[in-house]
Amino acid sequence: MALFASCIADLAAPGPARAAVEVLEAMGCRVSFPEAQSCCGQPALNSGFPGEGRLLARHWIETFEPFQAVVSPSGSCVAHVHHQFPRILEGPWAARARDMAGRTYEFSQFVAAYGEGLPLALDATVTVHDSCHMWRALGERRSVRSVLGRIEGLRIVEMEDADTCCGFGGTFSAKFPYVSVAMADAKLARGQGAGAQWMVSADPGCLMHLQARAAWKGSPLQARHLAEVVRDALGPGGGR
Amino acid sequence: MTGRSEALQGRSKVVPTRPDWAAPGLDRPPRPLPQVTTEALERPGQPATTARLDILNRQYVGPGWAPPWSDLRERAACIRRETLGDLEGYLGQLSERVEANGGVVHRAGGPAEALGVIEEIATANGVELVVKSKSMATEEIHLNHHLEAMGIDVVETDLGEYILQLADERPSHIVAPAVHRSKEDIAALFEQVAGGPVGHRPEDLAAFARQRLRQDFHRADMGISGVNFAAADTGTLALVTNEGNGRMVTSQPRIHVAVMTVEKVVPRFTDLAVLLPLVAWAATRVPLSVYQTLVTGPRRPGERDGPDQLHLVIVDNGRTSLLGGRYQEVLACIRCGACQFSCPVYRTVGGHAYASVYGGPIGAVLTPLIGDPEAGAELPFLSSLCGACADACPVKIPLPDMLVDLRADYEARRPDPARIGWAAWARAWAWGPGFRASSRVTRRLWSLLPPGARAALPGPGRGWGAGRSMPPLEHAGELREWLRTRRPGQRPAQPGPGPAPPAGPEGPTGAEQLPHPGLDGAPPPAGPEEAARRLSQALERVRATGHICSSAEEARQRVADLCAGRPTAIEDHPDLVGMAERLPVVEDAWEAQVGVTGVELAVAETGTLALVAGPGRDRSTSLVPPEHVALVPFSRLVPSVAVAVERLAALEPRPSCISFVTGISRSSDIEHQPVYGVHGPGKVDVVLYPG
Repeated sequence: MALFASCIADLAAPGPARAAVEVLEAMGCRVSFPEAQSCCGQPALNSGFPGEGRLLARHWIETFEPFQAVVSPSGSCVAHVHHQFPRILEGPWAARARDMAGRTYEFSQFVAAYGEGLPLALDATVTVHDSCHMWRALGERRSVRSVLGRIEGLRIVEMEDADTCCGFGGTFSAKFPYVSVAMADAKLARGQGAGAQWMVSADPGCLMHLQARAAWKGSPLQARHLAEVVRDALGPGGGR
Repeated sequence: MTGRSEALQGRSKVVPTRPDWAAPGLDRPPRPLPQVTTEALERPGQPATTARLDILNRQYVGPGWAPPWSDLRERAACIRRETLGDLEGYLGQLSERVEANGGVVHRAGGPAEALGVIEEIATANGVELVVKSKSMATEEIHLNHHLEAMGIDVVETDLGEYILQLADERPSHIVAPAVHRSKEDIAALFEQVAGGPVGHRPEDLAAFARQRLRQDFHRADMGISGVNFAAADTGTLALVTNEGNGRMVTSQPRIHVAVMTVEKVVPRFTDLAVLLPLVAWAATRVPLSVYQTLVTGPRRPGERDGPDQLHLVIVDNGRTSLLGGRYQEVLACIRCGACQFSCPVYRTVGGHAYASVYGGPIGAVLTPLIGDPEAGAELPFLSSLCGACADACPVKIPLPDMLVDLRADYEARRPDPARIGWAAWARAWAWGPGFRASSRVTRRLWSLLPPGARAALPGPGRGWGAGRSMPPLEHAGELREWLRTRRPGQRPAQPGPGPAPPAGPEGPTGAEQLPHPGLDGAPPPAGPEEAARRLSQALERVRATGHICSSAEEARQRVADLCAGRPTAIEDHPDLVGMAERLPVVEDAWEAQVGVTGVELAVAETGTLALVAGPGRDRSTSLVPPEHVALVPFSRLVPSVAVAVERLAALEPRPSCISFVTGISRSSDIEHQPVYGVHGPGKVDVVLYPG
């Protein structure tokens, strides 16, 4: 199986993708990393450039088609592959896109389905941010909590409006920065209100935005990727 | 009888406090949207508005769709698409039926034409005072401003709209127009027009508005309403309200002008059995709004109230040009406002920040597609594409996909320098070595820049840097280095057979094949006694009272007791024969304290009374007096809204007006706290007996 890291992992946040590799290997997977991978093209499509989005979609399909399964630690990118590829591509490309959607998994889905035996323990209090594209476009509403629930010693505290957008929205965050930041503030306040140390999500886009806002404000709440939390919880007796 | 409005007295004393982008009749944003939305965040009261909207979202949208409502949603989605498949055909049928019923139909291409038509009707009939019920179509054509310029007094009678008219603002939500105003705001506003204290509780404020609006209903020459649904097969116009102002506007003045946009048509009268409950459920999570008024033509010979003239103005404003295109489905919208509640961007900035008639997701899609295409051109970008609106939509409009496609349309129309950048970017990244090179360059440049300068770069970084730490691009390429140093020479695995591709998305099934469940999900009542009990329980939920009597005589005595010797208006109904002799009857409903009526049908599952107009059966009897008493033999009970609509569809001749009444008059326009008895009765008693 292949790992699709996402361009955010390649450019700015390597941590979650590294952690994903470590967790998948602990599950016994042989993880390949096709070097040609870049970006699913979502930023282009959502910015109004579908031609460029299609170019990257085709490149993505060509890069990952040789693999039986593709796993990505970015829920939004996987949702893009599932929902937008078949919608924006035509003819044989649309058929190839549907085929790929059938074997492209978001990280938490894959771990929830195939990672049951992992010994996991970690002392932490976390809340879950249900990222929009996983929650709605992918329709995945259980796997993150199901994986976190397997970690001994970890406490999940639910925050209000866990499934409300954090305000990232790709280029929305730069086009309407103040609105985007106000939405992040609401999210962070809810997480803090729930008494969490970490806000856990399976979407690097949301996390980059939330962490950048939390750092700017000096908020004690940390935004962390599920893969990193699971990696930290790995091993006999668990992690830290 | 005519004259100036009482409700608008003192309006000139109001000092407007709104920002320019909250004004009525705004054609396009006064400044670019990023700036308007930033100002919106700083508007006093915005945090309170956001908090209110968050609560409404949790209450109305949070629960999602479960049976039987998810089934109704499927049916409605089919009905609306069926309509759009032959919109012109259904409009033709509707026009023909409305004319056959004695109405006059006017088709208007754009706002100017629509305004011209209404102006002509007003002038020809010497209209001086107009009462209006809530209508987004009239907002779209900026009707109030036009009529006022003609010297006509136009009064908004929906409580929320009345508040906004005094404050000189646009509605900020489709069904909760004044959701952005606190009760303190509203009290301060009312005190300015009243020139004295009015009380600060929502009840006090609603009572103040009721008292001011009452005489205007009675004296107006013309009532203007919107249309929620127009049934093509019968020419029936359906209007949904909670306060009762819609019933007033369509029954008291001598002229009724209904304004609808083209997509409001539905194929069949019986489709209302799906759409009327669904729009109420989507908007406010109740099975039915308090009032549905089904107008089939003007008053008939022998009828004592209702309009002499009925005009239907059908406005296109660019909509029919969407038919057959990728945005056709946006016309399926039934204006419930759920997408607005569901949208986190809308809740954060408020509806006015969209600087258009329609805000929120539906506004961001619809505005650039109708009227002036440049007016809302930037709106599709004012969304984080979170998808909540698609889940909330009761007719399954793919709003997020449309926003994405509209962004492409926007960029395609502009010689945007960014286009060159995106093209170069895509070409480099669609090639493995290109992507890796860009990653190396990013890392090197980023490391050279002092942290302070990073946020000052042109491009998206500047927006990002407003309130956020810059992304750590110095990590670019690290992932691959880590992978290489850890496991050098890793090769892709051999391709294997993949699982079968998933089936393609299924189109909607035929509406006819879907089940039509009862709204409460319960099996139909076993007999008339159980139906009466269910009706009583349903009435209790909507603050009305059911009285189950054991005989006709006991029931009649109960009606007389409820009237308690007060002036009573009574309709000429077969179930009420001989009743008038036992009551102090007055002819004019406006003089009465109580209105006594029979019903055509009563619906057990919702507590809904179906009342029909006819000779001796006035629209006003169940509406104008502050109390309503209905006498209902068990034989008139039906289990469900669906059965009721089917029976009413079969009535010959079709009544000029059918009113559904579910409980007592209600408004939630002040901080969403319910107040009762706004324009319709504040007390409803239903006396049931075997017979």
